[in-house]
Amino acid sequence: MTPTDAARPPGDAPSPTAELAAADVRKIARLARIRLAETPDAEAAVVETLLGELRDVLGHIDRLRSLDVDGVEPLTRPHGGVNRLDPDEPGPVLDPEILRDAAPLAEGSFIAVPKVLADDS
Amino acid sequence: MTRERREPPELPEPPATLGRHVAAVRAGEVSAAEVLEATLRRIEAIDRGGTGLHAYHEVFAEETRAEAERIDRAVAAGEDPGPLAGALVAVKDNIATTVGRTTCSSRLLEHWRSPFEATCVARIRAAGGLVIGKTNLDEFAMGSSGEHCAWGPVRNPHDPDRVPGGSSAGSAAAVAAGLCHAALGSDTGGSIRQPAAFCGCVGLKPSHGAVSRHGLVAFGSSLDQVGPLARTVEDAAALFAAIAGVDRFDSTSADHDWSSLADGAISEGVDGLRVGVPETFLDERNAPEVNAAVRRAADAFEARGATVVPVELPLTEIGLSTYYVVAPAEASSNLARFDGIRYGRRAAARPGESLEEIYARSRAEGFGPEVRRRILIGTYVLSAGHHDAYYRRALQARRLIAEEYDRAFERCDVLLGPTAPTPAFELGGRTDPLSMYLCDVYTVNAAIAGICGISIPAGRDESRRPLPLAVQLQAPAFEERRLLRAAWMLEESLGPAEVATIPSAG
Repeated sequence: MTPTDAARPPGDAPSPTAELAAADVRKIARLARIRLAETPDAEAAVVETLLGELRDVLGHIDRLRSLDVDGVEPLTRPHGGVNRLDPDEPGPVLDPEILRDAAPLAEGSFIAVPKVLADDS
Repeated sequence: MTRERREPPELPEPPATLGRHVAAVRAGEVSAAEVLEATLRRIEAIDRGGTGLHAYHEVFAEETRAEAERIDRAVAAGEDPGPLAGALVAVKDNIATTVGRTTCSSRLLEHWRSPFEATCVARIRAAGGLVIGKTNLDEFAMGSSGEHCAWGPVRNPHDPDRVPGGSSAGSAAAVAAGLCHAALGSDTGGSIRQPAAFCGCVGLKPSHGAVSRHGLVAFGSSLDQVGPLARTVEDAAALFAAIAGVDRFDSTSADHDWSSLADGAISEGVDGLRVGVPETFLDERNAPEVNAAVRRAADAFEARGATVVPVELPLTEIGLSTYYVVAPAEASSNLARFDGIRYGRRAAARPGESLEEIYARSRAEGFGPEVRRRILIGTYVLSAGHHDAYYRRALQARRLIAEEYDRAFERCDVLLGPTAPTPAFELGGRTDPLSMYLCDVYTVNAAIAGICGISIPAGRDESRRPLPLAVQLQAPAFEERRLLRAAWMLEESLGPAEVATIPSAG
């Protein structure tokens, strides 16, 4: 946090929520690897609906901006977040074949996936 | 000659409470196999078909029969079949079983069979409990009404036009309708306590780390906990005692000795109990009967010698904003694994399509609208440029909420308040996401701080239909024993849960 940010009273900066636009919804859907619709028309309608819903929810979340959190350490996990350490010994593991069989598509001992490298054409 | 009349098959009586049933099975007075058969007939009559409650997605009749007969044989042979002998336990379908499927009520996992068993399930079976089936939930445990289930909504046994609450909708409905002795649910922001409140049963969210999460399909890992739903506080304690404790497969599981919970140890109450009732819990926007139930519970505590003390939790409402950043953020990360490659549904291949397009279509086809919404919210609050304004700030609020609880628990032993702002609402009654999220205002903070909480029945709202009312108690982390003892005191005063009266089929 820069000194300028710290000096600014909470809630004074423009809310990112107010500026949320259709392009943002498309961008986060792409980041989340979720296709929104099969056709551009259908996508426009889905984006419109999502935009309204996300603005509502993020608008509520914006109440966090009224909270004075200056100097407060983030808490990522309850109870201080200390993991228990176990002895480093081999334990039971699943048979690789069981895991392969859980995949929707497999070839031999491998999980089959579409081509990862695109063809140049 | 009398004409033969075909009577509809008679609905078997609901099973006894878990405690009574187990005692009777262990004493050889009751056959686990016979109680199973009666319960299976009850499920067939009440739960299945178009007008059914739809609590169960799968019922394991054959597998459970074999197990029940094994328990009966063990009792006959004079062996100890365990502290849950013959208890029929329903398991939320986001908890891995090697029998049947584990679908999370999502099309994405419609056919998925887990190659391993959740630790909590293994412990139930080791204690002699019988996993009778898998219950429906809001997809991936995201929802507060039981309506966001890919296989159709779950209904409230007390009024089929109302929701059972969520996300452990089927588990709560199965307990309330007498379709099992107890059930497992999971609670990320209220998903055990709120449906327990709506359905009129007991629901315990243990402290984060008290129960292993191994085999629970992750939603928000820093919030998720597995816990019991049951008809009585003692039954919930018995199931909790069976599943709790450290587990090598979950490095966040805590090493506590819960043996003191076994054998009715909670039915002693607490001497000199201090009950904190924060003003922010009795908001005037709550349904009046909800606040009245909390006041009746406070009076009942006082009548039993407890002291009601004022405490302050001014951050109660900011918890919702905090939760709806942290939980979707963790969900967007956890659910990234469902990409159609390693397991789950994969979209049909199209020529020339890239791997990334397969991900995006598999996820679009597999996830329902609420899961998609939460993943998008989570992706947004974690994205470059918004991380500090949302995610970091929410984690700072999280610390303030945890510290606020610490201060409150210096002045009181347990907190008393509502579980939800209203009793069960009508199916389809809340269509916009935000109004659904607001249901969670009294449950999210215990998850945010990782403390324990329990919802117990507190009479009925006779004004509309006989809808159950509930109150919630919360206690510091790993003080489940105190929490359960206080809940037992209240249950003694307010009366235990009643099995829902099911209108006769036809």
